Amino acid sequence: MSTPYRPNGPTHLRQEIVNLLAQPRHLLTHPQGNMLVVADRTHDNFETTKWGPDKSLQRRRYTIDVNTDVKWPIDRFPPHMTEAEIKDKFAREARWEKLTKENRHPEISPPGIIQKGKGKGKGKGSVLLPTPNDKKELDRPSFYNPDKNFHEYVEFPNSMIQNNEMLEINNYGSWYYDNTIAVGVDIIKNLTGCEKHGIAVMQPFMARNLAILGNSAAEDVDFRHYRTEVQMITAKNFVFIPVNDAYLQYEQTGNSAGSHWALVVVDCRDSDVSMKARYYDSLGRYGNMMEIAKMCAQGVFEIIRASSARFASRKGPDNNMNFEFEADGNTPNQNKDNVSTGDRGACGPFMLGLIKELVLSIVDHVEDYGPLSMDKIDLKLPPGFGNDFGFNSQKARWVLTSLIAREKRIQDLKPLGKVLRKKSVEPWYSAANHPCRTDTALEASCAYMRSRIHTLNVEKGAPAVPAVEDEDIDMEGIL
Amino acid sequence: MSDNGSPNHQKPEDAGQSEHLNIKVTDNNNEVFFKIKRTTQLKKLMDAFCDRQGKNIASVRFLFDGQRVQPTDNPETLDMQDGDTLEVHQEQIGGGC
Repeated sequence: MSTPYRPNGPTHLRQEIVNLLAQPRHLLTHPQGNMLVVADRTHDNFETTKWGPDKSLQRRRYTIDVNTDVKWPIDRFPPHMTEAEIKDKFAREARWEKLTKENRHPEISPPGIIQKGKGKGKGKGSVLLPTPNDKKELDRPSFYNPDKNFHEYVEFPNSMIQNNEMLEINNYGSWYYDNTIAVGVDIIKNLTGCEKHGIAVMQPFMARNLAILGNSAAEDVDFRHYRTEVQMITAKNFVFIPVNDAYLQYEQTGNSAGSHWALVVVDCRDSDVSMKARYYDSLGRYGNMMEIAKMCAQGVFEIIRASSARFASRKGPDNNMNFEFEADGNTPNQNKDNVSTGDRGACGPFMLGLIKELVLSIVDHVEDYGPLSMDKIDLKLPPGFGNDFGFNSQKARWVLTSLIAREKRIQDLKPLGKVLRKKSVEPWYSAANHPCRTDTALEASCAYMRSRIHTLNVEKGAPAVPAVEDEDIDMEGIL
Repeated sequence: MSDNGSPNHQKPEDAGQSEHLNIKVTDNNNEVFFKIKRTTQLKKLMDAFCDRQGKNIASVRFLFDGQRVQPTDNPETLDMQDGDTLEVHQEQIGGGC
């Protein structure tokens, strides 16, 4: 018998196995030259093979093979091994022998016996050992320092962030992109479970659509263009909207990226009677932000009014809803009330921090006192809130960075590695989408919106599309 | 035999009708209609729209039904129907100062 393979591992265990091998009669699983030692611990070096992970080694998680360099004739193999397995074993042995000594990894033995089952006796079928989860080498340093390019860093259910944006998040004084805000919003939604409590937190692109809707002078709006927003807003008690000042400029100039983020929260608890919107700006009243925030709130107002059964059934002068808009004077200032002094351009972290604070206060209240106590929630910030808030923008940047990197780690560990896309979106007017107020009023409003959409479809017909054939893509139909 | 043969004749016709899709791409100011194959990557459509509108593809976001569209997606993977709309949004940035 040649020198047995010595598994990698702690010295005491290796010594124990060597000692066991000194009494081969007790360990022989077969009376021939090859020998198998069954260990009760994992083969802990399979990840570091020179040729990448070896699935066969992973499968033999609880076994350690001992090779004696003696080939078994086919008729002397264990009864549970099929002919195909035996051939495979010989093929792998042949591959191993072809390798030069330099290419052989010192810790890995040549392929030995494939022990597939517990049953060693006669008549016992081969039972597969539990397969460990696929392990993958994680490139942890690159989580926080990806290459600076426009490639996707990680994708969330409703948002994604690029490498260059991920690099910027934790930079002192950097400005936040809409993708960063969108990812932050997705994280807050996932962590708080706020949608179950009647809170909608809109994505920045939805805010732009709401601003367009609120600014539209058209009387008969085609709500098919806003179905994502309608789906999000319907039957919610609070709607959080991150607002950027690019919306109005973009409408006017066709090209603007904006310069500031602020928050507007629409209170729809009494949406049958009145609606209130509250504006939180970490720079007081920055430029025309308040005007844009009003447009966004007006967009929510239009959707609520259109989907309300009360307004659908009543015509005439009563068909009005009170709409109040107020700026919160106690909003913390991103420069004065920032523990991290000198972080210019921290409106993004401030806005996300405020969303988290307000959303958590509502969720906690509802969980503590029940949904019936919703009326007692006041969104007005108390005097001195900026001081009590003690916001640290640099810490917030780091928390956001680490949470996004964590999501990347989770997704990279998954075999698929990707967030599964929704194949199709449920109709937004489906009552099943609205767990908060599935009452008769909602059913009526849904029925109304269904009929309205049907009417619009009939009136307007399908959009005019030029029917020009091409192999892959047709550019001739540009209007 | 004849029962087995008739569906085989119908299949190519059905597949031929639904092979191309009419997709509207809009940024609320401009609307562009494209006719593309179900299996064509949307990167072609995105590049064509940005070239035509003079936009940098890195500064715009394409969305379908509220979800970000990747250049490697195609109408089949997104379950797009004839006449569906792709929204285009300009990138936004903010810091205040």
